[in-house]
Amino acid sequence: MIRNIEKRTVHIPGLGKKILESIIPVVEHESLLGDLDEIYISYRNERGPVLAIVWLWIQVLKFFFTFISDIIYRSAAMLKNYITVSIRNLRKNKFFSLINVTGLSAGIASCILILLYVQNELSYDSFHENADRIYRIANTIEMPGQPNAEMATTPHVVGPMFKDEFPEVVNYTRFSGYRSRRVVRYEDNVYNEGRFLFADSSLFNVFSFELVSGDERTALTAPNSVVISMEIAEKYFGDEEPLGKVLTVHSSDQFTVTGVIRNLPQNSYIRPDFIGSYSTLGLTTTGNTAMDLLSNMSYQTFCLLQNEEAEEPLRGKLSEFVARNMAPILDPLGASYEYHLQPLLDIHLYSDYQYELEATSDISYVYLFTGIGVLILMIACLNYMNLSTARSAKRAKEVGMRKVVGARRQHLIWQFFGESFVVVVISVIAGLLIVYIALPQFNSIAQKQLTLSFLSNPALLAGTAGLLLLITFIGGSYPALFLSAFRPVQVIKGVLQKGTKGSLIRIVLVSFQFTVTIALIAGTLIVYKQLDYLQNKRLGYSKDQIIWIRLRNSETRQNYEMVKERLLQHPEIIKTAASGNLPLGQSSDTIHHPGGKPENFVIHTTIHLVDEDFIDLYEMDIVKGRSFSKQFRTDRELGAIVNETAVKMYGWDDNPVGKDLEYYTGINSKNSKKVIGVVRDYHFRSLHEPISPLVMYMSMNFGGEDLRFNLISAKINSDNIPEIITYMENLWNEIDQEYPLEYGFVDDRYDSLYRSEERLGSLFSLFTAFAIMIGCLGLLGLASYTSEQRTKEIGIRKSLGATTPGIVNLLIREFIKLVIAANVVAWPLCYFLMKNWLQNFAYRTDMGIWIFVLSAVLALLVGLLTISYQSIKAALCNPVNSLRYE
Amino acid sequence: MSITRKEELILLSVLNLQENAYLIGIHDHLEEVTGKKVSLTSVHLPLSRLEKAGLIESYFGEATAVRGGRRKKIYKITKDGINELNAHKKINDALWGDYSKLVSR
Repeated sequence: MIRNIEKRTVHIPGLGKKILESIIPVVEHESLLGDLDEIYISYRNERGPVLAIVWLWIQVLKFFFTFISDIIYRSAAMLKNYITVSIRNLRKNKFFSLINVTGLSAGIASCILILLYVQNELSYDSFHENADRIYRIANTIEMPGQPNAEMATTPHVVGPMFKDEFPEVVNYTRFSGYRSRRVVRYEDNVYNEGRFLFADSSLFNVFSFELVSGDERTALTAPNSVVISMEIAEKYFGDEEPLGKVLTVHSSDQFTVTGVIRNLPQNSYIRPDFIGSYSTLGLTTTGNTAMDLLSNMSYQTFCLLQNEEAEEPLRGKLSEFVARNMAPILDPLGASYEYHLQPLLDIHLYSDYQYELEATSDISYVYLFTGIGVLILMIACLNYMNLSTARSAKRAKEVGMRKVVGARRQHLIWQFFGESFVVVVISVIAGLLIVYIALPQFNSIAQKQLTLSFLSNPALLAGTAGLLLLITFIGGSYPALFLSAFRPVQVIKGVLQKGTKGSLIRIVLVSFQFTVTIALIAGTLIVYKQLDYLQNKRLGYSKDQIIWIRLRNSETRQNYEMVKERLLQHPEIIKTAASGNLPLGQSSDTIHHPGGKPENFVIHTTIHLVDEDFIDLYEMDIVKGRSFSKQFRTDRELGAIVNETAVKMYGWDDNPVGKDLEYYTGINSKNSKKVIGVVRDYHFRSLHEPISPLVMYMSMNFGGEDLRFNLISAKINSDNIPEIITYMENLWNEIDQEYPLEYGFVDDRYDSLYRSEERLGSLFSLFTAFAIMIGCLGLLGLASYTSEQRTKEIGIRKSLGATTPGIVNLLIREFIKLVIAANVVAWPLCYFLMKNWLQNFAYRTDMGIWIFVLSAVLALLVGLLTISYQSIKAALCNPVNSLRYE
Repeated sequence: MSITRKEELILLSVLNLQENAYLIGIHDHLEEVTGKKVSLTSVHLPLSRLEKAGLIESYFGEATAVRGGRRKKIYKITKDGINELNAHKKINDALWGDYSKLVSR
C-alpha cells in the first residue's frame, strides 16, 4: 500500500532533493522532505502547480543559504576567536614570542638562503635547450711512473673526427681556453680582457646562446670576426651600433664585430665576453692521425648527441677508437689513453679536471649545505616545540577551562595549530625580510647573483610555503595533540603541572642542539685551520712584497735587462728578476730524458724559464751545486737546475750535478742541457696537488721557437705601494706606448688559488653563527622558563640557608651535563666529515683534539652566558617576594 | 543554556501542539499566533539547536500519503526544556506580575 502511494506522490524535484539531502543531517532527510511535500501539496491545491514548484525551489534555496551562512558564521566566529587568542597569547608572553619569532625567522632565513644557493648550484647550464644531449670530451693520459694527466681539453681534431666516425654525434663545437688576458682597444677605449675565447660557428646550433643582433649562420665563419656580449658592446661602443665595428686586440690583430649575444647568466659554465671565430686560429693537421690526436691538447670539445640514449653506445666505441688511431705513439711509451664523455649538466658539480674554463664546484658542497640547512631548520623547529612544551603546564589550565565550557578536542587542536600558524607566518615574513636585506652580502660571499623573486622561481615559492606548513605542523603538534588530550579535572586540580614526559623531550632537544652547534663550530675551525695552513705553509719560496709586471711587446721583452735596471733605480725596489712564469701559475712542460738512463725512460717535467736573479729574489734554496750566474757564460744556453723531486723521479741516486738532461721540443726533436744545481722543492702548484718534477732553464726552444721572458718580478722594501706603482706607471709610459701597465702581487695570486675554500669558510661560519644564535635563543627561553618554574623552590632553598652560588650551580648543573653528553656524538661525527674534506688536499693540517675541545668549550661558554643571566637573576631574587603569596 | 525569544516561542509551541509538534505544525502555529509570515528555515534552525542542547527530543510519527509516504519528525519537550521554560516563566511572572493592576489603574 504505502509503496504505491509513495510512487504516486514523490513531488520534490530530483536535483532539489539532492541539494537538500546534502546539507541536512541524514536523520532529518525523511521528515523534512515529508514536511516540504505536505506544504507543497496544499500549496498546489490552492494556487496551482507552477507557483507550487516555484515555492518549492525557493524553499530549497533558502535552506541552502541558511546552511552556508550558518557555516560561515560559525567558522568565522571561531577563526576570529583563534586569532584573538593567539595574538593575546603572543602579547601576554612578549619575551617568549620574541624568542620564538627571532629564532624561527633566523632559521627560515638561513634555509631560504641555502635553498637559493643549492638551487643555483644545481641549475648550472640547464638553460641550454639541448642541455641533456651535450657532452664534453675529456681525457686521461697514463704514463708509467707518472701521475695521471686528467684534462678537460683535447686536441682540435677530436671534434671533427668524432662527427665523421660516430653517427651518434650530430654536431660539435670547440672552445679555446681563455688563456692569458688580452688588451682590446676601440678608439680611446682600452681594456684588459680576461674572457676572450675562440669557438666554432656551430656554437649557436649546439648551445642556446641568444644572438640579439647578427646572423647566427655567418657570425663566426669568417676569420677575425668576433661576437661580443651586450655588456661588452655597451662598454666599448656605448649607444653606437656595434655590428661591423673593428676591435684591435694586442695592438695588431683586427676583429670585426659580427654579432652581439645576450649576457650569459652566472650559472653558466661557458661565460665568455668575446667569442672569436675558430677559423682565426688557423689550425692545421699534420696528416699523422696519432700525432694529431695527442698534441696541442688545449681545446674544449663539446658534442651534441642524437638523443640521450646515444650516450651508452658512443661510450662503448671510444676505446676501440683509441686503439685503432693512437697505438703508434702510445704503445712504444707503454702509455694508455682514455676518453671521457661528460654530460654538460654534470660539469659544474662533478668535473675537476685540469684546464677547466671556470673553477668548478663540488656536489659534496651541495650535500653539505643542504645538511646544514636541515639541521638549522630542525634546531629552530625544536626550539619552538621545546618552548611550547615547556609552557604547556600554563596552557594546560587554559585547556581545562576550555574543555569545561564545552570545547571539543578538535577545537583545541585547531586552536593550537592556529596559534602556531600565526607565529610562523610572522616569522616567515621576518625571515624573508632578513633574506632580502642579507642577499647582497651573501651574494658577494658566495660569488652568486641570487635573487629573491617568487614570480620567476616556483621552487622558492613552494619551498617557502612548505617551510610554513612544516614548521606550523611541527611547532604546533605537541600542544595540539598532547595538550588537547588533557582531562579537564586532572588539569585543573594541577596533576599535570610538572610533566616528566616534557622534561625528557627537553633533554633530548637541548642535547641535539648542542651536538649540532659543537659540530658546526668544530667544522668551521677546521676549515679555517686548513686555510691558515695553506696561507702559512713553507712554500719553499717567498711570496711577500713582490710585484710582477707583464712585458707585452717584443721590444720590451728584448730589453728586459733595461726594464730591470730602470726599476732598480727606485730606492725601495731592492731586487728584480725576469722570468717566463711566476713560481706559481701557468708554466710550460714537456717530456724529459735524464742522462744515464735507457733511451725510452722519459718523465713529464714542468719547466720554469728564469733569469739569474730569480732564485735569489724568491729566496729559494739551492741544496746542491750552484744557482745560475752571469759569471758562467754557458748557463744561458746549457744550464739546468732541477728540483729534489725530479732528482728522485729521474733515479739519479748519486750527485746529479753535471748530469745531462734532454727535453723534447717537438715529437722527435730534442735539446740538451747540463744540470748545474738542485733547488729545494717548492710548491709551484696549489697545495691540492703534490710537488712534481721541475727544471729551471734560462732559455729554451719549443716547437722551433725561442721562448722569452715576459714577466718582471720586483721585490720591494716598503709599505708605500701606491708611490711605487706610480713610479712604475711613469716608467712604463716611457718604455711601452702600446700597452697599458699590467701588474699584480704575487701573494694575491697565491690567495686566489684558495678562493673556493675561503668561500666555504665564510659560508660555514655564517651558518654556524645562525645556528648558534638560534640555539642560544632557545636556551634563553628555556632558562627563563625553568627559573620561573622553580621560583618557589629557590625561595624555600634560600630561606633555609642556600647560598647564591649554590643555587646558580643547581640551575646550570643539568645544562652542563647535557652539553658534555652532546660532545660524545658531535666529535666523531665532525671528525669523519672533516677528514673526508681534508682528503681534497695533498698537504693538510692535522685536526688535533684541541679543536674539538675548543669547540666544546666555546659552545659551553656561549650556553652558560645565555642561561647565567636568568639563573643569577633567579638566585639573587629575595625569597620574601617569591613566597609571599603562598 | 540561555534561550532566545524565538527559541522560547518554539519551545512553547512544541509543548502546546503535543502530537502535532512537527516542523509544519510548529510553523503554522507560529504564523497563526504571531500573525506574521514565518519562513520554514527560521523554524528549522532553532529546532535543531534546541534538540542539540537537549531541551527537546524527537520521534518519528506515522507516514501519510500526502507526505509521499514519509514519516513526520515529531518534537517533544524534555525535562530540561520544562526546567528552562519554568525559569523563563519565573522571570516573566516576576516582571509581569502586577502588570494588569498597574495598567488598568
